[in-house]
Amino acid sequence: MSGDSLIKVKNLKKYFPVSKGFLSSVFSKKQLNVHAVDDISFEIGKSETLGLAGESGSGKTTTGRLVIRLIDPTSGSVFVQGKDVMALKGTELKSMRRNFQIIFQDPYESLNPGMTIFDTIEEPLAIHGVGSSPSERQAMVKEALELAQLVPAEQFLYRYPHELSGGQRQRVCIARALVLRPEFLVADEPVSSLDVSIRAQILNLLKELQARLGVGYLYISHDLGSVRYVSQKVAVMYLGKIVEFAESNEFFENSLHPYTKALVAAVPVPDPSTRKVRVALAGEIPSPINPPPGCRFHPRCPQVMNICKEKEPALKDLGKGHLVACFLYHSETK
Amino acid sequence: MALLEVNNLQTYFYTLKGPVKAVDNVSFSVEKGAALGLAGESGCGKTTAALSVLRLLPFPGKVVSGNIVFDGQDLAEIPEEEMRKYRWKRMSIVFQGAMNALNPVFKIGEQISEGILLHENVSESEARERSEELLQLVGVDKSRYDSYPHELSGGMRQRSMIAMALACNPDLVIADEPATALDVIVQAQVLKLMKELQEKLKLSMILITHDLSIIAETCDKVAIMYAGKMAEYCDALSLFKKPLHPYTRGLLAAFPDVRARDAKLSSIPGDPPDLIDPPTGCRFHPRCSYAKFPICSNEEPPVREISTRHYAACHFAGEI
Repeated sequence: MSGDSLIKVKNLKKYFPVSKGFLSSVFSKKQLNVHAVDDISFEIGKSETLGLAGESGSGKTTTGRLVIRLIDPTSGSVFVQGKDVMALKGTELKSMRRNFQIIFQDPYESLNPGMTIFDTIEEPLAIHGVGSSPSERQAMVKEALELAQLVPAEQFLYRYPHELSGGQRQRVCIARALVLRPEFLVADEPVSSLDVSIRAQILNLLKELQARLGVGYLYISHDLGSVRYVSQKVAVMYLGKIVEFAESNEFFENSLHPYTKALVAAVPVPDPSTRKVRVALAGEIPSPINPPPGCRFHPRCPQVMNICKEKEPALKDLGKGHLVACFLYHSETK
Repeated sequence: MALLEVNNLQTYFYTLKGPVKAVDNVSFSVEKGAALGLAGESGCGKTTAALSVLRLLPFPGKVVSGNIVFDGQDLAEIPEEEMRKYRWKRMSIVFQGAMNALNPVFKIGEQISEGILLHENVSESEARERSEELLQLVGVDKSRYDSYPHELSGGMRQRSMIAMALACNPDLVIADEPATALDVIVQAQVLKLMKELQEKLKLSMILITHDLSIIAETCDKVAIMYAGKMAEYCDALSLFKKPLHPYTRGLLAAFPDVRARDAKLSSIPGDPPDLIDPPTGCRFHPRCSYAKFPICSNEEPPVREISTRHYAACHFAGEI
């Protein structure tokens, strides 16, 4: 992998302890955990987008939060500019936080209804002590609004979130994330709560901003169409593990893991003449408290073998940076 | 003859700020055993149109004019008491958001049996038996009869909702965004199930969704609504092959295709309009890239038959 990576995630794990009832805590010592993210590694370069796909419960949102240290990991590290973010503390951590921001899923809930747009976007500047005078800050806020294509910016400064439409609110969230000029942005399902006609606007805006500012994105979504549209690389997660990773076109045209194949096949195609019987995978994602032994996907896998039930497949590079965790592609098992 | 015919339906919500014209002069029909897709953005009136058919409009909504003919009977003419015999028994609805549409304090099976007991002359054990059969029909184990909604996953809840809609062998099922809150794989499972059931039970179906690709896979006919008006109405194949209305074209172009390499997405600029004070002329004209002529902002385009059974409401449909 390239040496000039913006962000490098290594062996990241996050287990959430499950609270137990009184009796079971007396009689059993074993602590149960939700294995939300279980040993994942990836890198994102400058001006690059990594798409993170998977069903709900696969751990994609937890990964996004871990990467920008909104929550602390159980183990593992995240390197930004060569520094381990997990080891930083106090002012050092705070100044590092300027470099990474997040856009949340629901613009209806991620804006404070009591704050004007100006206050919302100015807050990060105030927290980090950026800008020496109020007028300088105001200019920065305006610039951020213009970046997010909310023009003329003056018209939006003193309005409240309830006065804006969903698409405009998501633009405010983008402006808020960009006002500190971060190098890296986590976009957690940024379009899934928006209307179809608005989604394309926001996706195009994200792409334009990347071309202009060189920000790197971690784009989290269960909608594979949008993942393909914005990402250069794609990773698929299943029950806390990355099961396949590849460059975007390779990923969609030559997907290898049975789970990825099922995911891609499950996307409806807007063309009635190619109506096909979609290979719908049976069952649903199992509980991450007690993930199945061996390969976590084996109970639902149409190509399951004996070894899958016993051993866990490692993520192996099959060339061209296409990584798969499946015994079907491990030469020693053939 | 069509099973359901909706002619010039107008449904308004009377708010303090003035009437919201949620559905304005909309006509469509559903044949026996066929599926109609009702598509559009949120707030375009698709759910309101469906609720008007069932006469389940929430306050302050009111059907102002137009008629709804179901199996030869004008539903506006019959009293509420009579209407109750139609709901669930002849036509049923799968509500939006399966997560919240079930009653959390009743067992899944009881909620399905309730409808059967109300409408059919059967004993409780017979109703239970039938509910269990229904659960199995939709792919939920019959032991789940005694489960509460919180014990089921999203996909299973959605399946139970479908079982409930089928409880009294209705002729018409209205499914309001049946797959929206679900993951891709579960969504594919649910849609496959609905398609199979529709063919097996010869159901008529109205599928309400904002996702055109779902319509491409399941429906025979499509009605595209915009701001309370019908924009385009035709069979599914022609809609995707030769869309006539600029709004439909915009919607189709705004969809990222998972199969396309380096695709370009063109978005529709602006936001859906306010329905209390909709734009003059064609309601889509402020967002339309073809609307360069005064007629677009001055005159409302009528719904015209452009080619055989392909209707569009645009002054320039067929020319652009």
